[in-house]
Amino acid sequence: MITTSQQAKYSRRIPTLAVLAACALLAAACSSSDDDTQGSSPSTSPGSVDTTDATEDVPLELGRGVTDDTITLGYVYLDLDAVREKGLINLNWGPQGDHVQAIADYINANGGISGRSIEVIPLAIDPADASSAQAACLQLTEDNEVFAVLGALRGDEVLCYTEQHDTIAVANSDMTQERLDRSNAPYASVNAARERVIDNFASEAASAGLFDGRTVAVLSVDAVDVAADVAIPALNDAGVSVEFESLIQGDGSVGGAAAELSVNVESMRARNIDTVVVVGDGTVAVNTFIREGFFPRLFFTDQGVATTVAARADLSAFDGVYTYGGPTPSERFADPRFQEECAAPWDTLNPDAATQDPAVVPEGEPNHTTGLLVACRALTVFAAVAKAAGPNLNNATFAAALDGIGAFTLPGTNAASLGAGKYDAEDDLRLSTYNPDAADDEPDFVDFTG
Amino acid sequence: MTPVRALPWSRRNTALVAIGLVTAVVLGTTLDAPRQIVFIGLVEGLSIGLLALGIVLIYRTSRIINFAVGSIGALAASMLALTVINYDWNYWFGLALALATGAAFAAVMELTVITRLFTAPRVIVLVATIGIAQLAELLRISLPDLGAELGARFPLPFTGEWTVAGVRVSSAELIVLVAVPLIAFGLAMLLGHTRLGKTVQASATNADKARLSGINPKLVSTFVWTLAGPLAALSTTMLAGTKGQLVGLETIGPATLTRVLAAALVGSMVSFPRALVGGVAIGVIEAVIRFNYPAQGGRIEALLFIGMAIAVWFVSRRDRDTGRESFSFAPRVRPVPEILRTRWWVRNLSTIGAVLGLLLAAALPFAITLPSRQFLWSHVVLSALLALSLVVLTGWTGQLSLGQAAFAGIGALGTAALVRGQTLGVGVGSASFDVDLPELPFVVGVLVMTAVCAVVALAIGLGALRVRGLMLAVVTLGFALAAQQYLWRTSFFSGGNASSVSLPRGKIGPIDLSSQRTYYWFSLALLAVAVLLVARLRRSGIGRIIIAVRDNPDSAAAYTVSPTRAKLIGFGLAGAIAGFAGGLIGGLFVTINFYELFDVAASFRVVAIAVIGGVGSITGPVLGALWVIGLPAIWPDNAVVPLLTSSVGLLVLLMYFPGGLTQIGISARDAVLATLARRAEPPASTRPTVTPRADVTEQRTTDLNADGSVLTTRNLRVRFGDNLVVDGVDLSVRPGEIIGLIGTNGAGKTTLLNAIGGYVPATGRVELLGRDVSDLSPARRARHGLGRTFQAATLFPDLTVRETVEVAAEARHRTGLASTAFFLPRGFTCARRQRAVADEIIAYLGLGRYADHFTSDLSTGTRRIVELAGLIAINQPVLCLDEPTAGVAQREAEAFGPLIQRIKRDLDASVVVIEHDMPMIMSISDRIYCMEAGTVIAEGDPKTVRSNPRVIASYLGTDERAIERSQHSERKTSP
Repeated sequence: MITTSQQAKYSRRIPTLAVLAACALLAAACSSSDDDTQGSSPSTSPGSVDTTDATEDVPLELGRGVTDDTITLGYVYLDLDAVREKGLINLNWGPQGDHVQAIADYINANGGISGRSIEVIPLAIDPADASSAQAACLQLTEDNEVFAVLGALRGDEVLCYTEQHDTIAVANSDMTQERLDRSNAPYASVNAARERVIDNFASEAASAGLFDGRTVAVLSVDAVDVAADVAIPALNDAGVSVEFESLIQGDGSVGGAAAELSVNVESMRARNIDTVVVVGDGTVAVNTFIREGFFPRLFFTDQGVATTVAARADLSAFDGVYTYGGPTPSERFADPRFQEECAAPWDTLNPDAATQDPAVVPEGEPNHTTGLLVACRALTVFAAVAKAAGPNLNNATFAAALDGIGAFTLPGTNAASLGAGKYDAEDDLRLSTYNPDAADDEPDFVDFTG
Repeated sequence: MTPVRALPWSRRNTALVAIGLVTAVVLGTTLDAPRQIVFIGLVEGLSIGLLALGIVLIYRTSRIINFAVGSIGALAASMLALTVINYDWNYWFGLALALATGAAFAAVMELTVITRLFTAPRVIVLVATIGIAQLAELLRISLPDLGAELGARFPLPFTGEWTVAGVRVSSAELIVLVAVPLIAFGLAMLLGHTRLGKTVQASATNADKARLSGINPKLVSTFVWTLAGPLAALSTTMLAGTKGQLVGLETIGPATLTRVLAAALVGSMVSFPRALVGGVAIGVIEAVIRFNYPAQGGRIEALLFIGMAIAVWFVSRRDRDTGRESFSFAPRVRPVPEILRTRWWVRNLSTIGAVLGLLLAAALPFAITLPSRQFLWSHVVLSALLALSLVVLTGWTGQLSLGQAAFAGIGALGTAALVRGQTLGVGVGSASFDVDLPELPFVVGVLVMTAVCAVVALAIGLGALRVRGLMLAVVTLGFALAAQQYLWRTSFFSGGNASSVSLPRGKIGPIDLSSQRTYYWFSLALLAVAVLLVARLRRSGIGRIIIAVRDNPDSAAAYTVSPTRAKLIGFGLAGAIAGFAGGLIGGLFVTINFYELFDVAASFRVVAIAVIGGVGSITGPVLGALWVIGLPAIWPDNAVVPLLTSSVGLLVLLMYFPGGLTQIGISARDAVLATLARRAEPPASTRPTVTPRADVTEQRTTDLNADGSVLTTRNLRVRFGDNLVVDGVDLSVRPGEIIGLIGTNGAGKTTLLNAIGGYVPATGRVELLGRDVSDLSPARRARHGLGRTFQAATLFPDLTVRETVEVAAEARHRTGLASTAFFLPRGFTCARRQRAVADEIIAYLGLGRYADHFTSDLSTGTRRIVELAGLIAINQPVLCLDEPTAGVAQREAEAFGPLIQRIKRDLDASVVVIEHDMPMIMSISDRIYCMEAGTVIAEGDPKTVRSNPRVIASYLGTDERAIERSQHSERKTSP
């Protein structure tokens, strides 16, 4: 309650507060010129001299985070401890920060990249906290001014680096054409981009006759845009006519999606659907199919989803189950390059926590192999491009290298390449089919041989 | 308190079922829907309806919307799955343990949390139920993992599948079909036809009266919660059974929750049968639509939201809330002790604190130089700004929004659309066209969307204008879901992108907003401006009328305040602040992921921030944001912080400080001032007193009715259901008269005054000062010269005496929103005049020592004088006083006769007064009307009426002493 006199004073205080607010804005104005770190033009390092190529007398234009001796990289990974504590996903990949450090140490011990050693700043992201990824992005791009960021960049998180901060990103997955189009900085992906996977999947499955004479539906849970903008056009391009679209935008709960799926199963029955292409998370869908006694031919566009579903449900009643993707985790583990360049550096340092075939890791134990695969493959892709970029490492030379690198070796896979217009590395993609007779230590999916 | 609906099947229920059947037939004939689809919808709808019964059960008893119903059920269902699958228990033993778990958890929560918050505002309790839900979720997560084998499904008592009339029926569905109607019927019988049920009903209808009858409302609440636990367990168990899922059954997401609340709304939150029918209708209609339009892209959620808004509109028309619910969100700030009022720093303590806080916050970037930390602090600042919208909406208007993040989303995504120059599609189908919007600067875009959000908030709030409390919460939850599932996907907001849009911050003149430090200062400055604006509005007439309408809409209307205007100002202001904050949050993140930043969970987080900080205080959101967003950001690796910000921390805080963190600060401030006051020397002189002017009223002209009266009623009738409460009353009040209205309790006197004032629907004609006011609202009748006091004399508990009189002074000097908000001279002039009027009247009635006291802290007698002070401030020519001496001690009551006459004389008013104090009413009245059973049985001067045999028989009785007292008192107090 203010009295009349107080009110008069109160009105007099307004200018005081206004001045304070104005001071804040003025200070902001003064500061904006000296600490604007958004965006980055390559910094110049006059003292640096390239000793290895033809530009001997030309000062190097090193990118932000690059010095004569070091390249500073950010590495982001999911805080699986936080995820577990919140009861979301029960995954344990061990200390992912240590994994990437071990690989970086290995690369440095073998000469680094063009004579520069790698300094990695690992950061965990809580996926349940919307500001966590943004804060990590700022921590890496503005606080530490890294040259590039690697690792688990989920969804549009990569845009904070490549669109907002002109920072190179080498993401593990989740590359889409939209994200590429919006990126200003070089952007590469270790795994195959979504569009390429689905395009190849549709065309290879169609070529193999798996859609012949079938009545096809596309079903998606929480991936409506992928289904509508990618999967259906890809199927149409492959000559497959989609008779029914079940596009469910769930609310994040199983109950919400399951309620819609029950109706959609009946809709598919009524339309004589016998083939369903599942886009996105199919766990709830498959459980609903089983409960409703609906067993069409199933195609999973996401190999990870297919593997997860197969681990939780018996798919033998379906009229064939197919998916598309790279080697299985066990195959990647067995790859000699992974063993040499990824597993060995870790195992040497951590004999008590040595890598194992993911298929035999006991439940609850840390699966170091997966953690190392992500870190090692991302660093390998980065190192391959950065080496190709030469000593004058900056965004422009990295982008040029990315366009011209071609095929290279990547641990855990038989084929990888990067080039102009193709910024996703993994090439070892194949159509696989569900093996109902697989033993516990065998993969649920095997290569489709026709 | 909303009257509890009759439980047995009523005509309304029959009509509802008929409408549902007709809808189903229409849908079935116009849309292609196999029987299996309708059956699936029926089972889904019954499941939704059963959960809705749990909501209704709690709401009927305590007016709490229990958001924990799903989580309690999920905890219990997980116990069933765990015992049967992991430990091979018999199903029925597992089910018994699940029911016991539900009952025990609910009972413990009621005894520890709900009981402690028994008298707290329902909004606070609602937030507590969200905390309870999170706690149940934590407990569920801590259960051992299910050791389910491949393909294992949720346990059922028996399995099988049958085909009946071409429809496949599984065992889980059969259980739902049989059990749900039985449970609903059992509940209706238990609560409608048993002694226990009547006890619950009595406690729900009027807790105070129930106490007088020996009923313990707290015990009743414990019983109902204990009953609700197993009910939730059964609901979720059946729901999980029909879904068959073992993984993920735990979460009842916002989509299901919204449907459950929509079903409960169909039942007006109190009717079991209608809630169940509502659930079935939702399930069936949704299934049929989904069958025909599988790629509907969130349109069902949009339709659901529209349906909920319409349902609330109807609920508000039927169940107008006139209860005495507490809305006191802000802890009471004690007046500064008289002895310390001469010290400037004591008087300006809050301002000094605010300025120091602002300086500290402004200096922060010099200490915290890392941009990523500055981003987190900006997030704290803008979260506080967003939560500030709830201070206006909840703290002031008493309405809760569970969709503030959706408003913020509109602000953010709309700003992004304006900044990139989006094309806006207008119209539908062939009648649509595109409008190319110009590319606007960031700040202009934010301002435009601020205005848009104000309009959207007004549109949504319109439906909830006539209800108080939690109905808006339900509608805004539907809005939040519709935004998340539908709105964000439209091309205008999404820009054609899958899940995010970009919003570059740009520049304001020379100031480049792109750096984190600049943006922090920019955000801080705007938060300071917003806080300043809100604080100014709160201390102005705008804040006073909004709180007056919240606390007592009838009294506010009697003071000429339009409840509609006051609420709309509150809704619009809250929407504008949320949209403004949203635009700035969008600028903070630059890449706006609309599914993560502005989903339903984000709206819950905004509520948590506001409540934790203190939803009644302007500084509350800042403290809440520091707590919820700041603590985890500042100390990410601290082990204690997650506990503080968890559900447990929230519940503990609410239990001990329902006023939020602000309450701690206010308690400390009061303690310090009290200590200082004890040590201080007495002041040399007391505060200056205001010398009353001889004339506290303003001159006015008074028109008369055609018959020369100032107030006339003709054939006035009021009907409550089948009861005719006022039956064709003709009454006439001539200029300068005091009319006494007497009669037994229930004779219809108060209802007659309510009909005259427009507070109840009536037929007949009311003429006031030469105008037919029969169709006017109470506020407009008041503005036309009709004054009114109420029997309860509740006034406005959260306003001081001076503020109360200032509310009444709105009639003379109405506060303008724009002039106040923008610090225009007219705003200051108006405030000064209101204050002058209030000070004079307070002095005139000798209320000076109570001027800064809250009206709820006054004795009934003093409160009644304050009520009269309000009438003087309005300067009404016609006054209707309802038992001005009720609840007043005899000594105080005796002073009222002369006081009424003095006010009548000073205001040159005519007075209608209801009074049971026969000596007083006979002594001051020029004429008397005596009512019985809704009709006037006698009318005339006191002597005539007193001797009327029907009056004697009906009211005075044959007690000679009573008659004699009324005779002796005649004109004793006349001037």
